[in-house]
Amino acid sequence: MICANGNGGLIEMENVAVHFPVRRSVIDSLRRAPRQTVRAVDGVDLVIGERETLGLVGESGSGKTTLARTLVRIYEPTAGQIRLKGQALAGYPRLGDNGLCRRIQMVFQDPYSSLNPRKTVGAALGEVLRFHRICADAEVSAEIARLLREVGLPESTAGRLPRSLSGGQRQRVGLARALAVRPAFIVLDEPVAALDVSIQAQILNLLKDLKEHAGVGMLLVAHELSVVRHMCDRVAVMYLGRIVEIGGTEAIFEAPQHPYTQSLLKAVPRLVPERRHRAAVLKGDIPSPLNIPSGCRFHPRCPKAQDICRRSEPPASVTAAGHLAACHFPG
Amino acid sequence: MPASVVERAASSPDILKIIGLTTEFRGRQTRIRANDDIHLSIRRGSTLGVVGESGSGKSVLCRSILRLLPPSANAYFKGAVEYEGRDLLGLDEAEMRRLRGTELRMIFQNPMTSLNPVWPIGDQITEGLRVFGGLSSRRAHDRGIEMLGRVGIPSPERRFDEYPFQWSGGMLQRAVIAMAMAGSPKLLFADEPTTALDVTIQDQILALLLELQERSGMTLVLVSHDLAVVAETCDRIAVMYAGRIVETAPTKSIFRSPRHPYTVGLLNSIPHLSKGASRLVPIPGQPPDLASLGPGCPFAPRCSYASADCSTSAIRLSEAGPDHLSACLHPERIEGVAA
Repeated sequence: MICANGNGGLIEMENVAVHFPVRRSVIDSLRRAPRQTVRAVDGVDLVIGERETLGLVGESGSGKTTLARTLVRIYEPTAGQIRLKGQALAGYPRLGDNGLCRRIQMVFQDPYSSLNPRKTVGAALGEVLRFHRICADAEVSAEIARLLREVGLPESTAGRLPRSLSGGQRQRVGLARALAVRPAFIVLDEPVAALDVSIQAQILNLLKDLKEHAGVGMLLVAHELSVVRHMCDRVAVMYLGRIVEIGGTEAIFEAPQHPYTQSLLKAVPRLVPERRHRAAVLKGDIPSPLNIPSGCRFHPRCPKAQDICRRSEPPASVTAAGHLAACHFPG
Repeated sequence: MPASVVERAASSPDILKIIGLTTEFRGRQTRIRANDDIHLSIRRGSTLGVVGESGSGKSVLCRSILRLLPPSANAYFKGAVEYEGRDLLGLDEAEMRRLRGTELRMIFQNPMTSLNPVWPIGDQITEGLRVFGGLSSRRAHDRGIEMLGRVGIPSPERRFDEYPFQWSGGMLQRAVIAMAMAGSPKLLFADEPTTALDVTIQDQILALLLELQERSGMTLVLVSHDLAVVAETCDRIAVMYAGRIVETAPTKSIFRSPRHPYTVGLLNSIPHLSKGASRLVPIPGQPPDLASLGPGCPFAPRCSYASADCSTSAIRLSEAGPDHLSACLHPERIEGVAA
């Protein structure tokens, strides 16, 4: 699936796969049972432009978190290429001035487990600044204050420990830490899923400001479709390790082409005070990535499935400018 | 109890009447009022949505009604919970256990916490039938298979003897619902039953709960932090904040003309699926610490309509429209929800 955004790729993924071998039990290996592989990400082509925010959605088990983690090299791709500004990710050193840690940062879902409980906020941010030599030692505290202001926290937060902060405040610290190294790209994995609605809105507004002012590209992984609609320029929909549809946010939400995207959108409860009188949109669960269905991966749950869907995997086809869907019968 | 009292209760339109329920957790130095003077009536056969953020007291409310709080919480109760003419808070533990096993059931957010991982699912579903329903193992087994089929588990005969680890989260939530429905409950509390699930599975579980309710006529209390979930399932909504009910009304009134600033704030702060990139209006600040609440409205420090009197005078739920109660001193100041 190709880039739809005109101004060139910040991140380019080419046929990326991330497979995990499953350990066999002693009995299975004696029986010479075949080795099994979880195909978490199974052939993804994706381009994310400079200053672009791409939303990645799909059910749990679709591979969206694995893909996000592969971008910061928590996992190494089994196959395929990932490039940052044209240079292969594998070629980047992890650390150092042009290292991956400086270029791509990640913000995690749970702000309670992603901060060191024994370090004050200032110490945590200062360590990052000094290690990467972002600024001279004398300027570290001024830079910490600037970062805290940027994420909407009072400067006094620097002296506090994570346990005295609320979930929303911790997530702001997580963002400040990501921004500290002045990255080119930030991966956000469910950044507001652990927060209450009223706090979620504060963080979403902050992310939107950062998106407009910090000039970084972002990948936003979220299961909450309304959050993605609110934040993203483009949206990619994943199912069982593949991107099944990608397009501009408006197009995906207003004219989804893939039956899976259509079902996902229909399944979201609306803020309309009217008792629902409809059956569930999709039957059954997402299949196991150990055992991916033949043909189109979605066919066992698809309301439109025909014979051809069981036999051959549909290629991604352009349904409108910049809008691709991998379906034999899109629309 | 005289028969007439029971009869009167059975013909009353309300299945449950909560009168001034206060639940206080007492520690050595702290007293936390997790529920403060709750008044709420639940109509027979209706669906009530209880919404609020974490710490608002919605789960404690269910657990207080069913007396499911652990002894370590050191909970003290005030008020009464009238169910079919009897005060649940005054029942002995054996009777309460029987009610919880039959007429009053609860399902929880994470189905794994209500299932024993080393016991076949089918046996867990039929346990209540054998213990409280007096069914023989054989009849309980048949009924268990019937229940699994009814909640949409494919080939229930084969899956009856499987263990929880063999099932997906959505299937386990179905199993827990089957367990609750097996005793034909009159009142079912569902505490965030779909929060841990994907939207497609949430959609299946909500459809299932509503279908079962329509078929059995039971009353459903749905606790959720998700306003959209309660919007499309509930007849009435109670909004909780800092351990209190701050607003209660029919679902339509809550969404079309909210009469409490907190409800307005919630509605303004959620991104809409059908609307693009407008800016959200968050509620400023943080929810209060329940251990140090002042005498006035707990929402006052975050409220844009508040005046000095809000943080000093005690506030009760009062009439703010037809069939609409709000705990706000100045409901007339509320402008409503941003379009």
